Amino acid sequence: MRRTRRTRRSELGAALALAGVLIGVAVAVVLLEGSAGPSPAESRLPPSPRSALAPRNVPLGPKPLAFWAPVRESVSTRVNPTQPQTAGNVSRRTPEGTTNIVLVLGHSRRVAGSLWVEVRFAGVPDDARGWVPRSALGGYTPVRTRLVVDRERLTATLQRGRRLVFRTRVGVGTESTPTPAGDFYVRNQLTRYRSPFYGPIAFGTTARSTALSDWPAGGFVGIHGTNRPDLIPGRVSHGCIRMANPDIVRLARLMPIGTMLTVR
Amino acid sequence: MESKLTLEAVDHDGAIAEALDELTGGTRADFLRKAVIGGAATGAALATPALAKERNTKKDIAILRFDLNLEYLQAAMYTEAERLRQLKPRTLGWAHVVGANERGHVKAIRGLLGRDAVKSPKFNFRGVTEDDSVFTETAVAFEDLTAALLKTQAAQVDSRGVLAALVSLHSVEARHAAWIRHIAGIVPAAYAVDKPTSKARVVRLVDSTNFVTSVPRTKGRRRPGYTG
Amino acid sequence: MSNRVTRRAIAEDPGPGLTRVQLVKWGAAAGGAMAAGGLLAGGLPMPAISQPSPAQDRQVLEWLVQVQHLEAGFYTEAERRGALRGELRELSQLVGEQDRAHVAALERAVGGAGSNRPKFDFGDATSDPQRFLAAALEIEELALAAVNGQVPNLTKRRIVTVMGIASVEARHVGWVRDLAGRNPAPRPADVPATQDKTRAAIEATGFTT
Repeated sequence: MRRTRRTRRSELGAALALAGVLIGVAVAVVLLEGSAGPSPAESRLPPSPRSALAPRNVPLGPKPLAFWAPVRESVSTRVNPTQPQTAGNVSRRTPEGTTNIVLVLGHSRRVAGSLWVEVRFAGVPDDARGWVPRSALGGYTPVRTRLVVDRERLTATLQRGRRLVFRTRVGVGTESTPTPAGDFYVRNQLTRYRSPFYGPIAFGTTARSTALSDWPAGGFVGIHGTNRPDLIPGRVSHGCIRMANPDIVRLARLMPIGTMLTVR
Repeated sequence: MESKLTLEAVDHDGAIAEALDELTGGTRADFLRKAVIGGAATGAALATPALAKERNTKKDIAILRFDLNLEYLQAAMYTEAERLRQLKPRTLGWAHVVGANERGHVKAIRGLLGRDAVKSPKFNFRGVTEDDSVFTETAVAFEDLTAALLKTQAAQVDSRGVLAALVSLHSVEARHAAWIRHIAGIVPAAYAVDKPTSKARVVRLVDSTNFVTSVPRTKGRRRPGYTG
Repeated sequence: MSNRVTRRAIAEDPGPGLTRVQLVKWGAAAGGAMAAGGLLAGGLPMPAISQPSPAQDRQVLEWLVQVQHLEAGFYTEAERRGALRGELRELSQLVGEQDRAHVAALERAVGGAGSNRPKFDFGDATSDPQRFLAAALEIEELALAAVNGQVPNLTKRRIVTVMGIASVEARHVGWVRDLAGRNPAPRPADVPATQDKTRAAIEATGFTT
């Protein structure tokens, strides 16, 4: 039979269509199975999913005033770690029954295989310095706050860095039972005792009354509330720093244990 | 001039939007409204595929919490070491850089966990942050083990985004490890292929250090005995 | 079954080796919505989401072998030329040994030595100490980014091993950077690289022939 041009064209068309289908099927097979992958030089791998994190470096931040550490065991401090001469004792507990704490001054020395660190602790009349074995202390916590008590202006001011975060008028010691001047620190906080004289919250410090050396609990100066707010501001106490009850409650939210105390 | 064609106009059944949603992680409505075919913004948005924000699965939360605790420990240790300045200069330099990295990890993982984040434990570093050779030895152990742990976790996580995150952190921990080993004078890469390790192994290391401590009892209820 | 339901069914279960966007295109073309398919093909880039599969694993591993060849080749030549001294010599020997081990491990995983071993011309980067350090730095960073870029594309079975290679690459980076007086860990998270980015980085070294 003679093939007309039209028949040839339609045959060609059919052949092309068939080829197209076959190619399409081949492509489908390749796509679906993916086994005959492209060579490494031409492979096209997808980008991976984006990370759920985008961390940035966090710089160190301002230097703390000091560190405080709890005392794990009562020890006798040394003037110098290499010599036995003592600089005073540090007991494990405060007279109030809480864990005693010391300020860590940031010097360490290895002596005969043990690490010793220099600390500041409650002394008479001021805080004392001495060296203790590192193992006598617990973990370090940075101190970033300072309470400054001005005995002339009868004010207490809490500083955090350069910022003033709290200020109030206070009652301080009388002339015969003064609040001692110097550098101390806050080492405990008492609450839920029943004693209106001390208000709702009382803080213990390492400051000691110089006049009342026989005081039963060591004669330590506290910072507390009062049932006589009418006496504030004034020179009225046995050495303690008193403030109105709403103020001590406010201060307790801002002043952590270990806060430095400077009395001028 | 013909107006630009938006996706909404051609995405008859939302299948395209579904696919793009997974790519861009944005809200579908926003993307459809703003996206112009062939526009530069669309190209940029699609250039780095992101996953739509999903809630973390329980497994992923557990893994991220464990990592967060490990990062808390490392961040606290290196921060304290830098503050106390008792290390040799090169080690101090390491603590400075790596501390910033680890503090960054803490912040980022806390952000990812949101309300599922855990608080930092309290630590007592027992002099390790104050003695150069003990610090270096301990840092090597922690960096090596963290990198090993992240491998195991990567094969366990549910979310691809969290997987990508672990991958990006893992190689940084390995950089830390090689660097501190180099400072310590030991070979930065001991094996051709690093092995994974288990969570249990890491727990054993942390326990052996006794770094995690209880909060000291500095608050009490006794009647004050202050001078008054 | 309507086209809409079929397309959705396919989109929910992509199957091995096929990305969702490819499926959408496939489905759209099959369903006759040529406009959509054409737009995707013509207008937008195609950064498909990866779906891990054994087939894709193979592609990933073969690609990573290519990248490792650059590293292995570099250190092997440096060791052969014997011009480096001291710690650089030690580094070229140890890192070379480890990178060659990576090539072997990856080739084993894909079932035999791959295709062409690409050729590089390192010039005096394999003999001059300064140029060696600079080149090592560049090569190690790009290799690490390449591996990091592929790990999330892998099936779970392969992740641990390839991360085992990634961390060693990162150690190499840390070592080289410390030697070069550079910060070994400037960023808290490493940035992964796509295949294209890595290819460009390899070109940028100037070592390709």
